[in-house]
Amino acid sequence: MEAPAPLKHGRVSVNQKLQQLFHPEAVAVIGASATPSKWGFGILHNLIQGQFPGPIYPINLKEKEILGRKAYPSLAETPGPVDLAVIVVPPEKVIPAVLDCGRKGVAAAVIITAGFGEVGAEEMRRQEELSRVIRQTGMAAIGPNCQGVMSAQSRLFAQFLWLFPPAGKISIVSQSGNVGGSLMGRGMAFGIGFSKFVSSGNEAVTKCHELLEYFGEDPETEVVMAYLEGVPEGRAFFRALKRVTPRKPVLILKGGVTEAGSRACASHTGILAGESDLFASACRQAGAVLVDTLDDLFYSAVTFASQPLPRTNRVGIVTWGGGWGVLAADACVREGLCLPALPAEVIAELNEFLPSRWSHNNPVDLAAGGGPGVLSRTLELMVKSPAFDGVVQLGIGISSFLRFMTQSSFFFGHADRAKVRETLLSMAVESDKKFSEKVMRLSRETGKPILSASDTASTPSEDNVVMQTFRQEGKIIYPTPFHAARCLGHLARYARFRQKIKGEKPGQG
Amino acid sequence: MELLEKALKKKQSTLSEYDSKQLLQSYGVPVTREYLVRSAKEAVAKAAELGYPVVLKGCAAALAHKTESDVVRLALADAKAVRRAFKEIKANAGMKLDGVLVQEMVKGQRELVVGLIRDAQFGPCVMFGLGGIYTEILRDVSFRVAPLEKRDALEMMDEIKGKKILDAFRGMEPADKETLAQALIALGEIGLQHPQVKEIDVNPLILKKSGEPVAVDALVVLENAKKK
Repeated sequence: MEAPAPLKHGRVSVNQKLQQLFHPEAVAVIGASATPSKWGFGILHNLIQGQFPGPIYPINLKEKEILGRKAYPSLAETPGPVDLAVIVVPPEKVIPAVLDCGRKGVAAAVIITAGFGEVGAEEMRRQEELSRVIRQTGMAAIGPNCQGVMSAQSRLFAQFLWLFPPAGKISIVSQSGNVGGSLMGRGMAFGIGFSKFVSSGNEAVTKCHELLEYFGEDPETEVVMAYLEGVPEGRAFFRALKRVTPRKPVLILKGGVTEAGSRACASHTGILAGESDLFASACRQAGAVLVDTLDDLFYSAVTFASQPLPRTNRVGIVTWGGGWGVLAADACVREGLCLPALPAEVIAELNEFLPSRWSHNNPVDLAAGGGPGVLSRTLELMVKSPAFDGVVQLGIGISSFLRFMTQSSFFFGHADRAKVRETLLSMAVESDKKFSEKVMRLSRETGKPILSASDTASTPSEDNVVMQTFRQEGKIIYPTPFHAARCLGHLARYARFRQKIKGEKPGQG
Repeated sequence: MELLEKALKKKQSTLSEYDSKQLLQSYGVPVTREYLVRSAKEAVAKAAELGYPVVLKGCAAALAHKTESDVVRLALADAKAVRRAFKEIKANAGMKLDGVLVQEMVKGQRELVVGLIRDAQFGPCVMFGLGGIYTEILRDVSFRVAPLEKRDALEMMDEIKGKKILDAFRGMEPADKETLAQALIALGEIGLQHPQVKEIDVNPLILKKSGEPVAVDALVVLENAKKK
């Protein structure tokens, strides 16, 4: 084995190295390929397609040019400095490639290649050797066995998945490439942006807790989400979480059932610990937000990125119809939220303009009474009442609903009926737009979260004016009352955690 | 800690109840008033000093399960009962004892458990829950990673299903959560400062009518414990 190059980055902190990983000026793809079925093609293609602004150097022994870019037979022959190298060569060629990076003075590497510790004992030895060599070069290194890295603000899409979400403030570390891909895919569908994504793979050198800490410091990141299957360095992970959560929410989805404590225990405490979910306890203790499903992870990340934190867990519900209100109330209670009774002055004011059959209680059920103007006034009263610090609003987007209802053949084939349809729809679109803007404004003015749910308006489409309006502020329409209640529950629990670490009582600060 | 070093040198896998409580007490965990005696005469003298009724327990590092070995005598009302209990414990022990513990009889209907384990991933972790026989039946416990802040300790108490046991109930005062929190923090500290301590069970930790907690039984398991 050749001697590694002298340390060029050894005395630089992990965060500084990661800074260059996410904001490189030039990128090399070692193992770039002209064959579209190869990973070495996909990575290069996505880097180019994602409009990375700096030089991209394909490294390939045989090709002169790939995808219109001049190819180089070795990293050493590239004309300028390289900050980031994406390594996608066969496993036995990874260590020589890393040594090349060391000599070139590359700051960070993303090792896509699989066939290391995830396979077996012999491959694990190869991974240990790889870790040792990387540490000697002083580089930051993601992987091996990973899907790549994305940094939207730098237009860096050094990943195999052909996904280009808009730039936003949510960053992801995922021990599974496809779970991360699934989150970004949803983001694209709903118009939700991301800042960074790391498929952390086997974490031979750079560990998930180091990425969490980086995201904690990163000014482009406001919400951190993590999909984890295991954290061998539990205490380092715990300490990293504790440092980040007072500043930014960290959402964690844990895959894989916790290993039962099979070790011999002489105490009851030991036996009970084996049965308990210590991982969940540790995460909660450190202030992380634990989620149950991919759905939960996505919706809660979007919520934290777009909604203010409530001062307390007191929630008001406003609904067009009874059943959804009842289900929302149940879901809120399960989330530990509190549904205070309506203050007398709110009842009196609502009596002024609501039909007498309204619920006279929280949830405020309009019982399908009144038009959009009535809904808007009701919501304003509830949001502005000091009795509530957050509002769940059910039934938004009459235009989506109407578009669905007016698919009936009645409206087609007759010019006058078609015209009625057009008139109805354009009125509904106008009123939806107005109401959506009002929801945004009320939340801004009061600093209270308002979470809106709808069957029809929660599906993205070109003519969904509600979603388009919400999207401008990074907000989303929740598909059910459960999603809204769950996300508000996460917000309230996290808000309480932030108050507790500052020594504040509920509602203070 | 001298008593830990001594026990490790003797290749003990556990500390005796008396030594376990000495360790806990040195970290501020309230424990029963008790004396380790070697004769029936001494037992009677100490019982009188503590005030009747008292408890007698056989005491040795190797005696991890005292109830099963029939070396515990509760609610002894007078000198005669103490002498008889002393004799029976010596006969039942079937091993060399460090001595016999003469202990105050703590009155209280509310039994809790606190403990420490060393997790492979997270290191020392502290447990809180329902004690006595309910520990094994209901398994109503919560865990936190050491070191604990007071906030963590209070949350642990709030997390168990049976948390109402800590409130005022049928003439009993609410639990002294301040002292309980200090005990939980102390267990974490023991775990952090003494890598040789593998596990700790304090069960039961009895709440007196006044709400004051007292460790009535305790077991410290050491790192050189033989795998069972």
